[in-house]
Amino acid sequence: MWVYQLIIVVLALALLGQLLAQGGDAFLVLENSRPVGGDREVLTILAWGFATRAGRSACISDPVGHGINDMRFSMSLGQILLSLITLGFVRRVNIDYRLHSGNSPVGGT
Amino acid sequence: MPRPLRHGPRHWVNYHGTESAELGDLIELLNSEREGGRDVLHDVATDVLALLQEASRSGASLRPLGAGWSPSPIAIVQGGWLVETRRINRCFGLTAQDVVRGTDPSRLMLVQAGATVDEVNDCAEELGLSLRTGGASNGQTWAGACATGTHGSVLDAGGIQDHIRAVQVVTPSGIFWVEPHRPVMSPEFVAATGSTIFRDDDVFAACQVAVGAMGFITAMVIECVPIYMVRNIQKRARIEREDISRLAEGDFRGFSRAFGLNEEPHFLQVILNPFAPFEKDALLRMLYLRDFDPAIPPPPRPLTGAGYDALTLIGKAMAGIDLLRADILQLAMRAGYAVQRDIHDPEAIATWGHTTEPHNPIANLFNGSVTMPRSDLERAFDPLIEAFLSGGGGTVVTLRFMQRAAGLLAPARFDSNVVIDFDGPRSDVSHRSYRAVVAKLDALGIRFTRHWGKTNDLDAVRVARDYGDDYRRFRVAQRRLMPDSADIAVFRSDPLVHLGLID
Repeated sequence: MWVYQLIIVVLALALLGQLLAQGGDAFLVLENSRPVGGDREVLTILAWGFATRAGRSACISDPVGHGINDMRFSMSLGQILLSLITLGFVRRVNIDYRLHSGNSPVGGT
Repeated sequence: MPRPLRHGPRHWVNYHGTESAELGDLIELLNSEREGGRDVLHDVATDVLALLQEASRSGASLRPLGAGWSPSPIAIVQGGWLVETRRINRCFGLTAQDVVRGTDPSRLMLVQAGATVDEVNDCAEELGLSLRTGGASNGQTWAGACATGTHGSVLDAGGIQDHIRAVQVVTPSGIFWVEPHRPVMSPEFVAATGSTIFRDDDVFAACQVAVGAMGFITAMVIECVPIYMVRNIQKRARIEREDISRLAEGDFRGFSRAFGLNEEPHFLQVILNPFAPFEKDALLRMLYLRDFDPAIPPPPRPLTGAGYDALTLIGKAMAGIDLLRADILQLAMRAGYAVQRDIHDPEAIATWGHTTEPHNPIANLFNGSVTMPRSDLERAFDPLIEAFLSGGGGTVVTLRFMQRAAGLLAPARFDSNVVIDFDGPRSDVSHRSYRAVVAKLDALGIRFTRHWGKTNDLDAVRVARDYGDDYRRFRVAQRRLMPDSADIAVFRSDPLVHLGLID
């Protein structure tokens, strides 16, 4: 039946679209951005998130204690393909972050 | 005072992801926790001096790093030490006790090198002041923006470095307070910052656009103007060939009358689609001076992120296909000016500091520019566009205008300048097109310079030719500030050697 074939094609396209959409960035930033330094954390989510929570989180050091300025979440094409090949069992996500440099009022001499 | 953080060897990538380096050490300067500006400057400069002396002893190259904003490799040193200044980001107001008699401190501000342009704008407004000009974006550190001669399109101003009145510079031999021959700061102030006074017009002018070759700049005194606001007209419009002639003649009022308000613009910028500069809409931005009105709230901050990979993707697509290039670029331009503000729209008025663009990571962009005498725009425009397209095109072409800027190595070195920017997706096509423009301008015999912080294809011979006697004076000034060649050697990097700015 051509209707079923059409449904399969639509679902296949939807799956492809969803895979491609994983490459889109999500970006979170403080309102008055003051970025400094930063790095990339790559998290590996195993077993569709059923594995231990530790596998889905990371600790970063903030030596000055001003907190995080912004974070960008993304997946590269390779990470998307890895997720596809393993049927989602292994999902790697990049989190790029920068720290906040501090916000001081104007001082005197 | 907390000691600098040493992160050790690591791979480092610049802000826009266009250059990277394998560093011997990434060092983060931490700010002094003391209250007064004099003490803070003293503490930070002492830390920098210790680092420079350690680098000198161990034979390491050391480079100051601001926001890592430059798309070119000007700030990096392979295998060396990068010293990040972003956390030394405070600003201080000055009083009569800080300056020499006869100097008005009310418009002066003491700025640490790592403060971003955005932070300096905020601090200036807190003091009831505004910057006179600035670049298109505001995420660069103040020292970094000055070091590369960053500029905007304020018609009666030069570059961002024109604000500088005095500079604190550290070399392996000491901490120096560099001013022009006419003094600015009081001897008590300078002594309290731990600095030795160094008054020399050429050394000061060299430090204004230092390109990272005049020691380690830790702080500056800048002069602002009383706070003002600007009305923003931002629109898409079709311009004609005569409008380019009008701009080349400096008839900004006439251009503004045709497309904006019938008054002298403070700022004027034209973004063109080189594939069809007069057949497709250009993006125009004109700013008009307005008195400060505290009742006008700051504009909402635009949404951040996004656009990043899409623009790169567009660039790659354009590199591969000839069809529809003009339309694809126009689409990207439309997205860039999604919000229009025409003369009959509700007035969009904001302070100068709230008018520059926020500093989010942008696409993996190609940036190139040429600066030439404005009067040469008339004869250069058509051949330049033709040459650009012969390379394949690929970026928008932006026209900005400014006066001669301060600093021996300021790219805006002509009386009245037009700066032509080629900003777009990073691809071979963009680079090839830029090279074609450079070759065409040379063939036409038009004098021009290039931006230190952008892709520029410069080398030592060309730098010496472009800057002539000012280049020679820069090198002499460098040796006056650092007579010991071992001091200069600490700041050595391949890009600076390639440009002939360090032996």
